[in-house]
Amino acid sequence: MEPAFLNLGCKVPTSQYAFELSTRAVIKELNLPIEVQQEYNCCGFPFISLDKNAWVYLAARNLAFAEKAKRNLLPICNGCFLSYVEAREELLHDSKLRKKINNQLAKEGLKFTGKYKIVHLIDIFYEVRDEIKSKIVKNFDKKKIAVHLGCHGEEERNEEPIDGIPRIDKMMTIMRDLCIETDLYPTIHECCGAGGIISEKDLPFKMSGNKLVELIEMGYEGMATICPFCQSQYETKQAVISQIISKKVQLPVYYLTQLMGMAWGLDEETLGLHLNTSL
Amino acid sequence: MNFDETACYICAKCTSGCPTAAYDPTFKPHVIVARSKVDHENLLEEENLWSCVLCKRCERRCPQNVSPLLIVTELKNESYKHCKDHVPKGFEVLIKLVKDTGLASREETIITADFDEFEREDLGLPPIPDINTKVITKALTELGFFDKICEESRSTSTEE
Repeated sequence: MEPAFLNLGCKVPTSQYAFELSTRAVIKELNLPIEVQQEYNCCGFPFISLDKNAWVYLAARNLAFAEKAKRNLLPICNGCFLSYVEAREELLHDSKLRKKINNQLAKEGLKFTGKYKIVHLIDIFYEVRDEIKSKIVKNFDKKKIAVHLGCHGEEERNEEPIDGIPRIDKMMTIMRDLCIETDLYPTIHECCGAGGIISEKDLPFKMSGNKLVELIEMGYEGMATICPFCQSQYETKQAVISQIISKKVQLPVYYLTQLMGMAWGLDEETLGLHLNTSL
Repeated sequence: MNFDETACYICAKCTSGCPTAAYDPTFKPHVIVARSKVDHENLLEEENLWSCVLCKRCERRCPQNVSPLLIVTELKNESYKHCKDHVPKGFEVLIKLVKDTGLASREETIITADFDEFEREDLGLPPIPDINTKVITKALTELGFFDKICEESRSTSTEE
């Protein structure tokens, strides 16, 4: 793979520590040319609903830092991923906006040109699939775990998937490589609801709760995510969900990076498994 | 992202796939698209614009290359600009956070199922890097993020 900056975003380094721990561990084991981006800020996505300039500026600043270091940008979070993909499109197709944003970036000696790519963890893991398989010391022996890629990790409308394989299929293939039993299910594309939390309504938790209930009823023994917002909705907030939908919901939810590390025999603390409240 | 916002023929495929619509029958993306052309002012008063979970499914399902999500987002942007009461108060917290820290969430001590408490340091994670919030706030100010057009009856103050 080409060298990339791992952008930790906001949610992961401030509360979803298990994702940071397990991602750092997996990247190290795979010996990938990835460095944690040291100079960065919020990806701007929380402000997309308020002001286009603010959103695009915040995203562009991080893209420009990566560009300056001649690296692709690898956001750990799906929300950040989509923010960068969309902001990049806006900047490339709107020269007035690009000029306005670049005027600000120039004050720090930065510039956005769009020369470097925004890459997704799933595409990278799929690329090194053989390496992931070769490290397995203890497979999951057909444990039934549901895949949840997350809306903002899915390909855009009319977007050609990398290598012709959609990310959701890649994620399932990686899980199957670990000897996890996983298949399509009716609500596979159902949203975790995190994008609606700001409204302070019950709706986002009903959304995540009903999906968990359905998976439990279908006999799933767990769920795998790759996004801190999805994980927070399905894992961290399980107690809140149980209250809101008046039904005890309990399903172990893991980050894909934790599952990979488990199959490789890495210890619990390295993978932050002791921080998961649903296990 | 080349959407054709005039091409909607109200097939409602967006609404039939919308997860919010499934829980809140008053939220109908196809109706918002239709009304956005003829009833813009009243739409700006709609509190349930904020029920959208930003999943993008409406946009991905549309056979006519319309993005209901983009229309909803633009309505929200305008609501914010015009200080509508229905803009969730949580945004004030996010704005303050990004000005103070450069991020949109604050570092937390997390509690495990066994009531053990952990901070980054306890887990062997390095501190979050320093972020140049001065530069960021100045840029956001110059880009007009804090300039709002509030009605006279309400407070005319803008952020900062």
